[in-house]
Amino acid sequence: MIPPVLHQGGRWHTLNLVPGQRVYRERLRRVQGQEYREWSVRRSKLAAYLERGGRQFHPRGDERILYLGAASGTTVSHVSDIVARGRVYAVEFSPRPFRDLLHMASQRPNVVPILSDASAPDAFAPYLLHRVPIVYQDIAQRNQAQIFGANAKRFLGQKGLGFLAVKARSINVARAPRETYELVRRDLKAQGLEVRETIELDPFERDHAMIVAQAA
Amino acid sequence: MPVLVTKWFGVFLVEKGRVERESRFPADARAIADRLLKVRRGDVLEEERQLADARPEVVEARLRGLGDYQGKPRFFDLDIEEPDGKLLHEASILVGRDESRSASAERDRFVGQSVRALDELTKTFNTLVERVREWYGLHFPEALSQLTDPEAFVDQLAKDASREALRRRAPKIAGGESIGVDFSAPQLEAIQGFAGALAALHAERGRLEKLVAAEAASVAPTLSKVVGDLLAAKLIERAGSLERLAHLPSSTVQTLGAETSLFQHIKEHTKPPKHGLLFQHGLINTAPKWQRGRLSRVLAANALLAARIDHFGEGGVTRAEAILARLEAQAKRIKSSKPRTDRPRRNGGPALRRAQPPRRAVR
Repeated sequence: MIPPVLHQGGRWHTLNLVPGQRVYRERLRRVQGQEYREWSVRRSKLAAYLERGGRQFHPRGDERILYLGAASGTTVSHVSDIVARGRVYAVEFSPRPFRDLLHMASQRPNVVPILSDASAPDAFAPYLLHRVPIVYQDIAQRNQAQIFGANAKRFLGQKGLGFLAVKARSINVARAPRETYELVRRDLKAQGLEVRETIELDPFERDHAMIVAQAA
Repeated sequence: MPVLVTKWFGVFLVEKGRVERESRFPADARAIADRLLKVRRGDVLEEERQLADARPEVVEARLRGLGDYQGKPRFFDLDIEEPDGKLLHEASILVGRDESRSASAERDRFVGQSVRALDELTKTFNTLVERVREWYGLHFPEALSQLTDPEAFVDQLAKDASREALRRRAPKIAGGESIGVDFSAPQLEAIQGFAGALAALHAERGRLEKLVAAEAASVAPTLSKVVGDLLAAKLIERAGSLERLAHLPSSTVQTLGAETSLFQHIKEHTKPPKHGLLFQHGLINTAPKWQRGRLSRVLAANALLAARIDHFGEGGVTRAEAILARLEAQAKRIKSSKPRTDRPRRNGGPALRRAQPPRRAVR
């Protein structure tokens, strides 16, 4: 099988779902007859997570992923490469980046763009028929842990994995980031999730960490 | 009791985990998109009404009228085949396009962009005026101190940049030979052309300012009355939209636009900012320094009240007078107060205590 994620020459790549097409200005490379898109660790927290040694993200390729805080869709496009036979529900609340997300999604049949507030799951629940094995969240909100917990409870399947990109500065600017991560972990545990991994994303994203939690 | 569950391709009546009855949407992206849009607006679908004849349990607040709502959102994994994903993809794009369009159609987004355009235009104009003054100063430095008004200066240069013309315009310019160097005709022309562009920029700025004021007055009439059109527009821009402004706490409105110093206060325990954008209001910037904090607090409270009336109310400006009267009464009390004299003064007012570190949030 052709690996969807390729680490070569010190850089990360994903197998382009739409060969010949760029999403932003990423570099395209041909490897063994396949086209890959470079996945920058500085532009994508998920790529930074892999670069910093994260081990929990390895989809088979047919999963459905709920992606909260899709922004303009840079990372979403790579996730869409990875779950080529699956689907990404990409939720973004801000109209300006959503415009770019919409444009990207219209080229990729496995992306479902949804303009909605991640803290109001009623609005996007009708889009999902089943619970999903992976929930990914990257929203810079003070209550990001609570929002994540509520969504995990509702949409994450048994033993499903939740990836939470924590921006410590959004939760409390004055507190040391590591203390914030600890508080988030405690929050997640209180909501019935088991914390599997905490990967600090410095220096690619300052004061950010990826916290991976698993549903019971 | 059966539960009514709405999914993107139909409505289902579920009993003990099994679908008892269903009403599917037509297998057409536009038809599905229309229904999803209705759901997002909070409307009840025809299909939902049909299946709700026996008043089932409902799991969304939107469907409260159709049956028994426990207030507990739940998610249902339905044990049914999902139609082709292509349909969902296409429908979601259609929904996204419609919503994207209506989001940018909101008037306060226009206000936000035009305020930013105005701010940048002002900044640019000032920078360029500085440049043309320095530049022309090589030729005729005596004129600079007499023609201090930037608009008059660029207007005159644009029309005629010769020393004689400027002398006619401002007879007070010191007579005799200038200490500046002579400019050749092409050199003078270059400056004249540059000044012409600046004059045009200035005219554009005036037009834009009128437009911003008019937009603010129509989007937020009460707020505009209370703090002035331009400041109202700037507050809306800072908050992101009138809706967001209306939802902010008054203390945030008070320091809106002073984020740098607010965060410096939180992190480094410097003195907290008294005002942000609100400083531009006459009530604040003409007051003695030691009154500004309190004045800014009551101004923020009243401005916010006005913003909330504009956002949640019926429209119109009927309450503006009452708010202005209230603001005036509160301001009067503050203005008649005397500075505290029990501590050594600074800045013409009493020194503040050394700012206390903010209390740690208890969690």
